[in-house]
Amino acid sequence: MSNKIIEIYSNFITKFPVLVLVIMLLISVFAIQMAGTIKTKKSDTKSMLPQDVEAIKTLNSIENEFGSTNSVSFAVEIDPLYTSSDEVRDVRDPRVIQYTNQLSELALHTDNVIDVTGPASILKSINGGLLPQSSREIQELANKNGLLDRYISKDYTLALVTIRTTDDVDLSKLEPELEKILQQVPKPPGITANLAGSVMESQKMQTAIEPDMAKTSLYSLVGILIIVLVLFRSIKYGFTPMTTIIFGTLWTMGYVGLIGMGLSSQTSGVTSMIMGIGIDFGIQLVTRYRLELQNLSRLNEHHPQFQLGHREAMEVTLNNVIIPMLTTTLAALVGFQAMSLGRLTFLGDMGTMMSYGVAASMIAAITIVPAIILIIDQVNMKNIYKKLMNRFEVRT
Amino acid sequence: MDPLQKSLVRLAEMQRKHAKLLAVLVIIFTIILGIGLKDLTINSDFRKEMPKDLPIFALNDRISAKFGGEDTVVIAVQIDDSVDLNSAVRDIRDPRVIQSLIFLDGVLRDESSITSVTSPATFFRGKSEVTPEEITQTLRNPQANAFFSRNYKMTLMYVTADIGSGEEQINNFDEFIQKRIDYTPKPPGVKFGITGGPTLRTTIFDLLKSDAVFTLIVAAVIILLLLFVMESSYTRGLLVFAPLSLGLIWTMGTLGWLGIPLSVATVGLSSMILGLGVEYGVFMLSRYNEERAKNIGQLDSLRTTVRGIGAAIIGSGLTVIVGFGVLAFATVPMIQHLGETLALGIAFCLLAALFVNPVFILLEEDYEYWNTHRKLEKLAAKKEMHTQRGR
Repeated sequence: MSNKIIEIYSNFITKFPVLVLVIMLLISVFAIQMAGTIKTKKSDTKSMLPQDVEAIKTLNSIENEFGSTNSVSFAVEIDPLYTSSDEVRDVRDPRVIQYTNQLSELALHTDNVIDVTGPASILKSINGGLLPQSSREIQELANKNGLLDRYISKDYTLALVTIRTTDDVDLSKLEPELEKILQQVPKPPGITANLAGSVMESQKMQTAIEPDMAKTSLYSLVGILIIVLVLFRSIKYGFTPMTTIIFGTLWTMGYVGLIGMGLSSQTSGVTSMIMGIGIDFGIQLVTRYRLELQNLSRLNEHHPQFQLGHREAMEVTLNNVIIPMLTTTLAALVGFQAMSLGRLTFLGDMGTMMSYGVAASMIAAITIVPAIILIIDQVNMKNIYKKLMNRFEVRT
Repeated sequence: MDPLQKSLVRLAEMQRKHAKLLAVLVIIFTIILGIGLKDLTINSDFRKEMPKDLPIFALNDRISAKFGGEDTVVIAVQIDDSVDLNSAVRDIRDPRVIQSLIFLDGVLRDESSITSVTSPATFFRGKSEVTPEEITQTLRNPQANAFFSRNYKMTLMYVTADIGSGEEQINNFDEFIQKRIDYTPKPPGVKFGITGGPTLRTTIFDLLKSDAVFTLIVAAVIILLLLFVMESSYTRGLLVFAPLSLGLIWTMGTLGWLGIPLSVATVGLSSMILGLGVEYGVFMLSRYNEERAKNIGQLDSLRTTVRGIGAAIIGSGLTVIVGFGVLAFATVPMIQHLGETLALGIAFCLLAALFVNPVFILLEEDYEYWNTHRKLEKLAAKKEMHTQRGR
């Protein structure tokens, strides 16, 4: 039964390659449009953790009770350039406390900031609302209780100003605002100040991974092309399997855009992987097709009455490769989907996107690739060239 | 015939000639690599999978080192609404709760590995006795408010310690905190919970272990069933699956030998290797069966299969290795490690399909041939006996 369906399908593809090509190209145009809508998204680590584990339940209830736990910090570190200068050597220096006070006040007036806590605000709260002015006064207050432990390091080289933000804060907008504050407020000599906090890590990482997909995809494409050209030692048959991954990747990205999945740090390398896996289908198809062409030419020699050609070779190829391809596709889908079955789903999105990629590459390998091969093989390039040259000669 | 195809034909001839010897060599190779499995470890430190080259990560690491951020356990004390006693605590600022925290604060600070403890109890340090009135008065301080949730149903205690990076040390520290909480006197209507870096790491470590086994079993069972269905035979399904399993053992064993731990990135590695590596065996077996169905002999069928499919799977295997290998250029180490280990896994599956699959196919066929003839001989002898005896 399944063999009969495959035979009917092979017959259709080989009979109407141009129609198949046109349909698939139309789908590709739509996919290009959809792929253009893909956005880079922030990876939400919390959602990848199981919610029924005690430690995570406690973490969630802290968030529920205390509101947003999103926080960014200004990290003020001592970094003196010269020995025996009057540069800051202890973050409890009144100039640093004054500086953190200015940073806190400006940060508090930034959009989406709920509150700001730092050495200055703590010292003010335990000093009757006034900022202590001398080093001795600050040191005395700092030693009074452990409240400053979370804002001034034990070796007094690092101070933190913690900025609590709303849950829905757009970090791409908040980051430049806070950077502007750091640039505007004059720093005491001998210190450096930077943005810190785990929330900023994901923001910086998001910026860093943006060129990753293009880079790894390009390297992958070049590497694959070299292998395929060496394998087939033919420009035509070297480039033909490449159409599997070109269309497979394009359709995958189109679908990802259509469902609004978005790319994250986990899925940044997915295209190169889809290419590496998807090309297999193209290689298997082209290898078998070339082998069948050899077999048919031998058969034609012995039985000239048959005169079997490219179409028949492709039909035999499709009849024989579809089942193994389907098996391997299903197995790969099982492997990728199993990644989401665990309780930690850090790479769940990647597995899902790879599943789309493998399925799309398999579809490309049994639709557009045989259609392209047949069209190219059945068109006599020499005749076309001759015709063009004749026209050219007549005109001149 | 090009040099690759010539080599593959020679390989096929060797496999046909020395099938049993090759099977023994495969077993020895598997045992050697398999020994590495006992050294395979799991790393639950999520930060090791992050791009440490980015300045923000270096800065945050410095902050963690100086403030002990990574080793901060958070004890959440919250109202338990399920307790309906009259004496149950209804406001977390209740002096009885603060007395509990003062007790816990003292007990924890006595431990040498604990570097700091911060909570509402911090305000009462150095006082030998604290009255409920004093507690109420002190907690009016706006700075104390930061420790309480807006509706006064929860308060937090931050415990920073120098635990170290070993999973056992983290586990011991978690247990130590839990024990101290257990014998802290608590008023009715409050419950204590623990979270924070070390606790989450222990949780992730346990989950990684169970996930690695669970995803492997699920993928293996489904793929095996799929092979049984698609190949319409248990034997043929196993013929594809067995070399694939060897490829997986070799990969995991190599990771163990090289001391590369499994992490959040590579925990699903086994299921992916099984899913991707199955391809080579499927093509190899289906082509061999196709040749045998034409009544072509074992050696010629194997020559055609290893030459034709071998070249194709070397090409497709190499492309998969390239596709995964280029991830070594990704920014995020999690993706780099995933790419590298998958490339290794695919390389082993490819080797298994090329060198082991044909050997297993031949041995199975020889066994079936021998078994069928043995049964036939038995039946023939029985028939002969029946003929001699008559009815």
